[in-house]
Amino acid sequence: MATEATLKHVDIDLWSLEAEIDDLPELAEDWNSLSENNNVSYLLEWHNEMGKLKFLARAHQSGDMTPTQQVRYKALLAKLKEYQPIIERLELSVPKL
Amino acid sequence: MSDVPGSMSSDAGSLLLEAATRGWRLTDEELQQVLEHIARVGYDPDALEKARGKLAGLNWQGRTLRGRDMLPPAEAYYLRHVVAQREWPAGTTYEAYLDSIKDIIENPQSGVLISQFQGAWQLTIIGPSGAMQGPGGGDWIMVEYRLSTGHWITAFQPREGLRYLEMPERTQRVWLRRPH
Repeated sequence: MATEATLKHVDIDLWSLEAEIDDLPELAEDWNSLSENNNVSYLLEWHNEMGKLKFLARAHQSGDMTPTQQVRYKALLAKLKEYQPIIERLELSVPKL
Repeated sequence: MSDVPGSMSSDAGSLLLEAATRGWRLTDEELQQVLEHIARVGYDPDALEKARGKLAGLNWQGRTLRGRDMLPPAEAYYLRHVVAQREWPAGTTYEAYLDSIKDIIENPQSGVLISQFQGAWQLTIIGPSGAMQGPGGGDWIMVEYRLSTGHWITAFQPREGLRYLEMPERTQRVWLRRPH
């Protein structure tokens, strides 16, 4: 049984990843004009977002999500798959879940 | 030690490179000098970056942000990690966010790692988040400083804690001081 804190964490991480992934097409347009600091910070933060994705995968597998969160999680994975060409072009890494 | 924001004095830069490439152990005093410099320089005050979708719709300084708005990095990372992702406690101000990063840099219990990332040297300082952990945060606060540009490049609470530092893209890792 997930605690309230875990469910809140799941909510925050789902929102964070949804926003990050939705932004990928626009990011791809800007990619070559990013400053060194901006480019590097994006890669570092992307890696952290992927840490959140691993956390969500564990929460999903262990049933620590509400039905609504499960739907959002599956939609997130579908969006990641849809944007795979962008992810590959930007050489971003995505963990195997 | 230079106090000019954005410049790493040749002394401090040399010390860090010697430590990284030759395994030269910095004295506590040398490390403290370097860290005091890094605590002062902060984010690049002259840079601007896009707010992007994650910050769109947030209210900031009397306006509603759009994704294409340009912000100084200090404000962008505050809004991203404190307001949007709630890594710090609710109500944490912009100044408190920056102060918490400086505290981590100057905390003698924080770990200090030098490594290469995307072809350049970076210093990572990581310490316990303690009372600064929010509902979306983690056990650690981490600050990344890039030697080539002389500023913080991001500061957040990594979801995976210390494991975050093991990413394969980060090479030639040398702990100048381990966290404890």
